[in-house]
This record gives sequence, C-alpha cells and structure tokens, in this order.
Amino acid sequence: MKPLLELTGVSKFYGEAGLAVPALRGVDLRVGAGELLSIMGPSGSGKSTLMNIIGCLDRPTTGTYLIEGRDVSTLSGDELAAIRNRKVGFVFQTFNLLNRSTAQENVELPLIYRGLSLGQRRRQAREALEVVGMGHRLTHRPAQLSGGEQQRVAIARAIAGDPSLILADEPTGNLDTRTGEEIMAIFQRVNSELGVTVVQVTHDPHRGRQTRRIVLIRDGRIVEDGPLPDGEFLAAAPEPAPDGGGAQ
Amino acid sequence: MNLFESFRLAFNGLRANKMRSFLTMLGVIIGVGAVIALVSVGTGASQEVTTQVEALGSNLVIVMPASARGRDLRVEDAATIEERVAGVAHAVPSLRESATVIWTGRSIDTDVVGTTEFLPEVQSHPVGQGRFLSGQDVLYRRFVAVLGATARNNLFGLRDPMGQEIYISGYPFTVIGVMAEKGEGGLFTPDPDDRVLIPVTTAQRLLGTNKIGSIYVSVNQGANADLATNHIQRIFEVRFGDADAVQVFSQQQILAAVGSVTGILTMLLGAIAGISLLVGGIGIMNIMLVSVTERTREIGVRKAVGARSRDILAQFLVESVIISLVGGAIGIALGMLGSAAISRLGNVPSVVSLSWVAIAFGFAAAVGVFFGIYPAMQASRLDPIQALRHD
Repeated sequence: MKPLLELTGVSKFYGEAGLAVPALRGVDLRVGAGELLSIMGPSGSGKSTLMNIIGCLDRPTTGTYLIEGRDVSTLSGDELAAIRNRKVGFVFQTFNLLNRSTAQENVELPLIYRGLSLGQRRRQAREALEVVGMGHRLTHRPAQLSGGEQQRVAIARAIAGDPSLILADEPTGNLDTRTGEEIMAIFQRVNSELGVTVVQVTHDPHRGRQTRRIVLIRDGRIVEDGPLPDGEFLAAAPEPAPDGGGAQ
Repeated sequence: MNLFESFRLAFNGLRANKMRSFLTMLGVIIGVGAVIALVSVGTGASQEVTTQVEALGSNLVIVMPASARGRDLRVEDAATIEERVAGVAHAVPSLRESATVIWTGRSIDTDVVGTTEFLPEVQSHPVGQGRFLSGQDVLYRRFVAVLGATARNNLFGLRDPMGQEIYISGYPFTVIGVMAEKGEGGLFTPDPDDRVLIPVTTAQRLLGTNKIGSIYVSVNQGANADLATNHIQRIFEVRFGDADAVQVFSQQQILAAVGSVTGILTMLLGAIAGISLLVGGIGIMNIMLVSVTERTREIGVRKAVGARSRDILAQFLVESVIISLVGGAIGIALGMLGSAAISRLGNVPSVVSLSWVAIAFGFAAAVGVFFGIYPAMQASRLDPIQALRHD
C-alpha cells in the first residue's frame, strides 16, 4: 500500500544561502494511513521544523514530500493552504482557539474555508464535538472552558473536516497528568475508530509510549525509528463521563 | 470563502471591539459630514448670490474705477453716458459711505448713498411711501433723505418717519420718502433695504469731494447690453487713455465672475472637509494595523486550518470598508442635519446636492479601500508559523 506521507531526503535551512543553519538534514520518513506515532527529540533537534513541513505550513529546502502521492514541496502558499484545509488537522499545545467564538464556531473554522454551507458546517461541527464528548458545550466560549475542554474542542476542530492526518504538537504539554490521559485516550480512539493517522510531537517518553511508533530525531536527523515493542504500548486511562471531564 | 462569509467575519470582528470600531468610524463620520455640510452651505451661498445679482435687473450695467490704477469718476460721466451711448435709458451716479444716522437720540449705522432721481428705475427699486429725490433736490443740493425699508424700521420702529428731521454725520435732513422693501438678502451684495438715499450733490458737499463711487446704467429693453458695455468702456478709454482705468460690468459678466468665485469657495470648503476625511482614513489604517498585530495569532490559526492569503485579505479589507461605508452613511445623514442647522442658525441658505452626496460617499469608500489595503496585505502576508508563535 502507498504510504500516506513520504519524505525523501528532506532538508531545511534557515537564513541566507551560505550562512544557512540546517534544521533538518536529509530526513527520510514514511507514514502509512492509520498509523499512530510520536516524533520525539530534545528541543532544537528539528522536530518542530519537521512537524511544520509535514503539516504543510512550510516547504523543504531540498528533498521531496508526498502526501497521498502528491508532491507538495513545490506548491504555492495558497495551494498549501488548500492541502492543510482538506488533509491536515492541527492540535496545538496552547489550543489556539479563537477567544471570541463559541466552541461550535471554532470547530466550523476549517469548514468555512472549504466553502461549505452554514447548515452543513453546523452539522459537521456538532458531530465532531460529540465525538470528543463536548456535544453539550456548543455555545461556550474558550474562556468558559477548562484547559482539557479547550483541547477537546481543538481536537474536534482538527477532525471536523475529515482529514487524513492529525498533527498534534505537544497536545498534553499544558495540561495536568489526568487531563493529559483523557486527551491521549481521545487520540487513540480517533485513530482506531475513525482510522485517522495521528502524528504527535512530544518530548515526554510516557506520552510517546501511548503511540505505536516512535521516531527519534536529533540534530536534524532521524536517529531511531521503529514500532514500540510488544507490551510497551500504554492505553491511556479511559475517559471519565464528559460532565466531570477535564476540569483542572 | 465567499463575500458573504467575509462580511460575516468582518462584522464579528468589528462587533468584538465596539468602542474602537465606533471611534474609528467617527473619523469618517466627521469627514463626510463636514464635506456635505460645508459644500451644501457653499452651494446655497452661490445660488443666493446669483439670485441677488439677478435681482439687480437684467438690463443693468455697472461702471466703477478699477481697483489698482483706478481713475476717479465724476457726476458728469453719468450724464455723458446717458447722452452718448445708444440704448441707455438712464445713468445714475452712486456715492456710498457708511455713516451714523440719528433721530431723536436713536442712532443707527447704515450706508448713505448719494444718487439722482432715476435710481428707482435703474435699480428696479420703487418708492413705497412719500416721494423719491427729484431733479430739483439734486440741483439745489437739498438736505432731503429717502430711507430704505430696513433703515426706516431700525430708526423709527412703528412711528411715521415722513417729514421728520434726521441727522447724518451731524447735518439735518428731512425725510421725504421710504423705499419699498426689496428683500433680497444682502449677504454678498450691499443690502438694498439698509441704506439712506440723499442727493449726490449733497453727499459730495458733506464729504468735501467731487468724485463718485460708481455709475449704474440701465439699458432699454431690447437694446444690446453688450454693445452698450463696449461703448461705455471705449468712452473711458479715450478719456483716460487707459483701457483698464474703469471696469464696466453687465449683469451677465457679474454673474459669471460671482459664479466662479463662489465655485472656488465651494471647492475650497469641500477640500478642507476632504482633508478631515483623509485624516479619518489614516485613523482607519492606524486601527487596522493595531488590529492585525493584536490578532496575529488568530490569523495564524486561520491560515493553519486552510485560510488562503486572499481570505485573510478579504476579511480585513472588508472590515475597513464597512467602517468607511457605515461611517459615510452616518456622515451623510449628519451632514444634511448639520447643513440645515447652519442654515437656520447662521441665516444662510444651504442646498444639499445629490452629486456631492455621491462624491462624498464614493470618496469614503475609496478611503476605506485605500487605507485598509495596506494593513490587510500585512495580515495576509503573515507566515503562519511565525503568527502561531506570536503572543
């Protein structure tokens, strides 16, 4: 089967030619559809750069990057935006919800840029919020939600457009341990039930073991890449009832 | 994303900062309001002055010394014109001087005009009560006066002025008549009702001069006013050896001159008001730049989930255009109210012209686009990675 993501010899340099500082040096990475994996590495290792490239927020300086067989390394800014809109869902460490909008409006955001009608957007947003157990918080604004609830809304936003890939950048970094478990459980469930590929960037080994494959990156190179040995995989603690969920 | 969504987003953005949006809008409101109000007053003034000049009579020609190297006119010049120029009915001299007029302790400041018996015909201004100056009055330099309607009201109130003795610059005059009320403003030409008419010869004696200020010439109905104007011009050219010694205007020429002056005045008022609209536009740009900086993270999120540059551009541009259009609409309403208020309080006419409303509104829209495009471009060009890191 064709891999979902295929990076070949991807390098990224910042700054002007000659003085360029390499952030990635010849990364080869293949991710199949339906995988659940972690990219791990110390800060400055290049994992954020790698995530930006995988998420089509940035283009490699050299090398090729294919999503579902399509080369995105030469696309224009607007073409990348269209790929992000349809193929990728982002989850950030700091949630990055729009403060003035309700949960439902936040989840609708990617669908607006897809040109869906209001009714269609509403329906898909509500369904996505129900998947993450936030069906009862449609009209709440981020300030009225706990951190865990905000991250659930952010996950709903990521899955609302039915993407092939969810990219999560330290998704539990701003949450307490128990809430982090709940969030990881949602990722595991979204991965297994909806079949969406989930790529997580983390530096926490415990969170790494809650995915099935770990890619270790250091100084811009992949130094280790393999499935978690049998028995090492940790299922995240089951979600509590949504009403009591995630309060800090 | 379609235009409707852009408007929805923009409205939400403006609603989130109501006070700020309103204050930004205020710049446009004041600018557009000022344009409408000032131009309306200017247009009204120009129409008013046209009416006043037309009221002078369509067959009127005025002769006066040129301002720079003017030569003095004499009473005899009026006689010369009357005798020699074809088509001229009458030519009356006018010697105007402001003076204090006193009647039994009551005093008014008004214009005293020395003239001759034909002024009512030449200026189409009939006598209302009593009689006008006669040829004898002029010949014998009599101390008799005819009051304009306003001067009469100010000096005598409800009392009968006929036969009363009034003092002009200390000399006693007998009131022999009152002019009918002409009622044509007096904002831009001297008020024809606020004056006291005396024999020109008497006026010259009082002032110790043998000059006169100007000559009013009436041309017969059907005669060619332009031909008469040229003839009069030539008479003075020969007499003074200088084509520019005196100015001779027909009413048409005055209308044209006045029209161009008031046109310039209106443009000037419009331009001053336009500057305030420009300042309002800079206010929009300023606020939009602040707004873009504040919402950098929001822009990052929007771009991350798939907004294209032009979606972001549209969102912010529509915001500034909404500010300028709504501000423009409110400004037009307030400008109309303002021009009505100025017209009432200042007793000046005002005319709201539709074309200026359209110009002001169009200019406001252009201001919104012009000053909105730069901040919107800044927003649309943000790199999503940098924008998401912004705090």
